[in-house]
Amino acid sequence: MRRVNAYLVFPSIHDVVAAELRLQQQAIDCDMVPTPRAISSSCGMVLCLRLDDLSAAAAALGAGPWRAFYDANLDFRPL
Amino acid sequence: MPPIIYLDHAATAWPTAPAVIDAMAQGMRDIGVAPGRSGHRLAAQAARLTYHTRCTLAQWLNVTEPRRIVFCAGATAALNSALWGYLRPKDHVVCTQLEHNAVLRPLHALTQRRALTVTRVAPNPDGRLEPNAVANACTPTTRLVVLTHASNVSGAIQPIAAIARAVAPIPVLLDAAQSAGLLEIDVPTLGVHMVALSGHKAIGGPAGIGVLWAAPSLQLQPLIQGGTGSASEHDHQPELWPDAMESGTPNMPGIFGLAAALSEATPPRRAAHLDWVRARIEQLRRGLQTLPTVHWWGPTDTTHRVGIASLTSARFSPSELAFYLDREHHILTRPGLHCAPLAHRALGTFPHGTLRVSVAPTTTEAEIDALIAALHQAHTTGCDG
Repeated sequence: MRRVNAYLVFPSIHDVVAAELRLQQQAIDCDMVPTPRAISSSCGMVLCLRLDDLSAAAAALGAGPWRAFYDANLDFRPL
Repeated sequence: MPPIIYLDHAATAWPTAPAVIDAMAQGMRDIGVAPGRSGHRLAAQAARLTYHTRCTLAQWLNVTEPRRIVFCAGATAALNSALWGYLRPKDHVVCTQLEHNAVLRPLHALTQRRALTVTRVAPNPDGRLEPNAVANACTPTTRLVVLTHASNVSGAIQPIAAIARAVAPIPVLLDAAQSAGLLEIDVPTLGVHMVALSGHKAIGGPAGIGVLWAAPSLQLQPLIQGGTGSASEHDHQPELWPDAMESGTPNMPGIFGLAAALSEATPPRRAAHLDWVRARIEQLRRGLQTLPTVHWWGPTDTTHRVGIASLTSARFSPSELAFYLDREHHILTRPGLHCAPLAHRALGTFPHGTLRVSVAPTTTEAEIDALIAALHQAHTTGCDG
């Protein structure tokens, strides 16, 4: 069964790295990947993690300028 | 050819530490790309290193928002970003006569283009500012006070915290070009709202990299607009820092080098370096006391200085002395106005300026002894050798 990913989108690469660090501190696996075109036409990077880890990630990141998407059917729906 | 004695560290610290050069070479070899533009692993590594360097600088300044730290081409670029970005038409600005042209010239241009008015406060005869004099220059329309932390001419350290308290709530822009790396720049303690610093002086990083920090409460318009790697679908510049203030590919070799230099510049080392450079300046001052034709400018109390001294001779111009020291003794100093003409007017050394001697933690006692001996020799046998 294919892994379902969540994608966390941030307004700046600065926020991507800050979030990556915070998730790593919470032992939540994530990867910095190119921004999927279906999410944004912006260049840059987003964080990709298991959808199952999204709740924990959201708790770790708290409120902030980030949005989450998931790719159940590669359609990157907003969460 | 005997080795040179380099005493121009206030212009550019030299030689650059091997660890800094190695970090720059390794960064260019192993990373080499800019953050935010591409989605590959090298861009991610560049982003991480840039982020960590910002965080280190935030720790350095004791501020909580690393995103408000932006990388610039140097302290001059940082000061221009602050002045052009913050000041509005018809604002009044208070600065001091000690400022470098990196402050004076943008302010002059702003008086012409935005009808600003500027008051330049004179220092005391020893080159230090009186807090009340700065406060008394402020008016109800004063929107910014610009202060150098340490004079690049005399090395005189200014009482920034006392001035900031005296002018509050007017924001203070601190030019820390000559202090960063030697003096603690604790923003909450100093009470300043913007800090500009350069990487290639006492911090020991490479030339071409500087930093501006601005308090989140201040709104600045970016000096340049362009690609940030973010919000690319929009015509307008992103408003979120650091992207708002960092258009274009950043100077990654400079950031690699700055990061390495910062990792060496721990508070204990910084304090030790300050003690060392002050001791070398005091050594010079004592060594010249028996040379009555040489005048020592600025504070006589070395604890009021960074590693800078300014001298004049009753017999020789600063440029004659500098050329003599270079040619005959391989000692490199800097004569002239040091891009701070009003500071020289305040000291009384305009238009010829002074001979500036600026030292670093690498400066040895023997090197200062050699300078003292060379100056004595010049005044005994003449500068013709």
